[in-house]
Amino acid sequence: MGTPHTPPTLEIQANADESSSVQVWRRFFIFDVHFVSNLARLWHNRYLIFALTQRGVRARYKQSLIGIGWALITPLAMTAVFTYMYSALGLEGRKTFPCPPVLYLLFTLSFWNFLTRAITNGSTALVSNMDLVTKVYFPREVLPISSVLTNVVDLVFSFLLWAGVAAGYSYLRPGVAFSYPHAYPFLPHAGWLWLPVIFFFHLLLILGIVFITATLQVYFRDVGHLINLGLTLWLIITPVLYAIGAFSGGRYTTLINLNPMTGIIDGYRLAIISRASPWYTAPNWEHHVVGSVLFSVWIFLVGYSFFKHEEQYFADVV
Amino acid sequence: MERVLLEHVWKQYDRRYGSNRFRKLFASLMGRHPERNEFWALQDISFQLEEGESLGIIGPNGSGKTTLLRLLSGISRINRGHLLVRGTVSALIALGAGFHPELSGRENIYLNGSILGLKHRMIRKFFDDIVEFADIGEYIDSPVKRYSSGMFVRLGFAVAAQVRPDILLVDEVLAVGDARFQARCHERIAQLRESGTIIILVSHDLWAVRQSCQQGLYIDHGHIHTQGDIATVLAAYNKQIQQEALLRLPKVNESENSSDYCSCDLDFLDEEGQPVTEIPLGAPATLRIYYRCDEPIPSPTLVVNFMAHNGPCASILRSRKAGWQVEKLEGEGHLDVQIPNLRLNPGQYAVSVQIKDTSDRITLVKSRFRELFIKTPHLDWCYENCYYIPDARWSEPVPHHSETNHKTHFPPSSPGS
Repeated sequence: MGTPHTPPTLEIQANADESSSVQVWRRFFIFDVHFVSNLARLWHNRYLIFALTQRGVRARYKQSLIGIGWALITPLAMTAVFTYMYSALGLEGRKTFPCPPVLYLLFTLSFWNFLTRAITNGSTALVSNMDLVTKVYFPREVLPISSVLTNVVDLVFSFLLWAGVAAGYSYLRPGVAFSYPHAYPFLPHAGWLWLPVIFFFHLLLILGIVFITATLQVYFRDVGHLINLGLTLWLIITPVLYAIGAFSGGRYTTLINLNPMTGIIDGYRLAIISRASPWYTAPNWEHHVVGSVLFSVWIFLVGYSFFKHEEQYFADVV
Repeated sequence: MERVLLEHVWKQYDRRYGSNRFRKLFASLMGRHPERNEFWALQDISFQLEEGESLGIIGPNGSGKTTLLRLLSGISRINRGHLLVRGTVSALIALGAGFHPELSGRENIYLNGSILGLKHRMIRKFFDDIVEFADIGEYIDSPVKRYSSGMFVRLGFAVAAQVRPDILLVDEVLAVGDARFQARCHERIAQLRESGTIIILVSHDLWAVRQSCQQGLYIDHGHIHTQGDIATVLAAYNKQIQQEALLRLPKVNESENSSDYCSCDLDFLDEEGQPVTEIPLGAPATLRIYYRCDEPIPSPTLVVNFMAHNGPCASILRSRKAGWQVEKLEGEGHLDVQIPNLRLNPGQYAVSVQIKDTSDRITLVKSRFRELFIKTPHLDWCYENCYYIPDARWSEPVPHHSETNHKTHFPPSSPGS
């Protein structure tokens, strides 16, 4: 039991004019910038994030035969298809890829698949948990966050798959590292320590987007269709199916350079696969990575403050 | 210091767009008038609760009771006024919220506990209590989609019961589950109330509200109808129900009411012979039956039905049973039935009389319904004087001495209890 001087856990002083149509514009101030108190409350609910993430992971593979195997089959199949396609087109040359195409595709696709799944699942987190939203009170961002984190398990497994394949590759064909002179040996090395740092900003980028899309999904179910379309288009301008140096100059390169995901994928590549090299690195690669990091932080803050402002309406609208 | 304080709280909803202000904006840009769908679900609600107090919220369906709970729990936001809640709030609004059908009972206990704000350590500590309370036995490791709905709700309540909030909101959850489960729920609520938790209970079960709450709030169409002491509020609510029930007296077919050759009607009379609609509990009553028979009915049977206001037949008077018999009923007239002690519970009744043939099988004619109130001097008649009290004689206590051969009636008391 709290002491008699418990501070209010809920205090709302509603403006008398808020509901009248006279000041409709007041309702469209859509940002809540109390980041410190919001994040403190979120930290207080970390157990809930953990429990919901656990629920997501367990529920995903219950009553399936292969279970977590699906996390491996999807990137393997996609890699096989694209590798075959590139070899048929004669595009597996050293200017297109910084390392053997199989290893490059398996690597980038695991991070890209994480992004697409996290955004798809995260965007529907509020709508598909309608019973929780309308019946229990807790900070609502817990739902999209745990939906996103649910997919980390898949990412970990597909990254381990990549590490296994890469190690096998360099064991079976020891000369491969010499034929790609700027590639690291495909075994764990100090550059891997950058992985969690880049992953953190990758996560911020995803969460920022998901906060916005999940909120909009509450108001308009059209958002789901737009997201699928957007993700397909986004893949084309991201160096996932090709290395960043594959296109030099032109409008297409400008699009690639403006893409926040370029710096993230390139960051992973620089950390794990290869040292910077003029061949397959854009002239100012540091700008990509730093630009993406800044963009990720910015979109996270914008998305979070938008989400926190709209949160109060979710239960009535969803 | 007040723990819950509401000052002039207003809440608006929209029938069509459900407060979706973006869609409303689009609608008004399209030249429609979305404000036509707006209505005030709660209007000017004010009350406050101190520590240890408990409030029962009653009212008809759609009056805004659940909306009020949603505002208090923070799920939904007020439009006007001031709302202050001090302390942790736990809402028994949906039992088993967040249960995933594929997960086992064990996994769902941890999940649901986290949703209700319990720490992992706490859940582990109370795990055995929860399983025992829910009474689900070996089902604990089966997916909850294999549970019966009763098990599902019991498990949900067992987890929710471990939460020790400062303010507990209960909404109709007690309506589900069998009698034993409901008894345990009330026991749990009583425990929490004694430990100082503020209870806010929404229910149509007026008995439950009477048991659990000292204060009452009767909401009708978003307004406060009556507030204050629970007995006063229940009395006001009952009065309102009575008035509405009057309008809903069962109608009898006109053709049944008077056939082509006979008709009948009835009245209740007081001592002076004036027709009345109210009779005090346990008072004598006179029932006057009017008849008009164009053709004589040979040795008819008369039957008087007392229907309780909610439907079931409360009592029946049969002329056969009383040994009443006439050769024939003819012309127009009346007859009186003296009832020295009308053994009916307090409440409202619809009374009608039927004329039947000798064999008591064929109904020749049925009168319209007359309303009758059995009233008590107490305000909340339903709950203080629920049953007719028969005459009873109580003896002096008779001690059981060891030398007499009375066997003890009780098991030996166990040491330590």
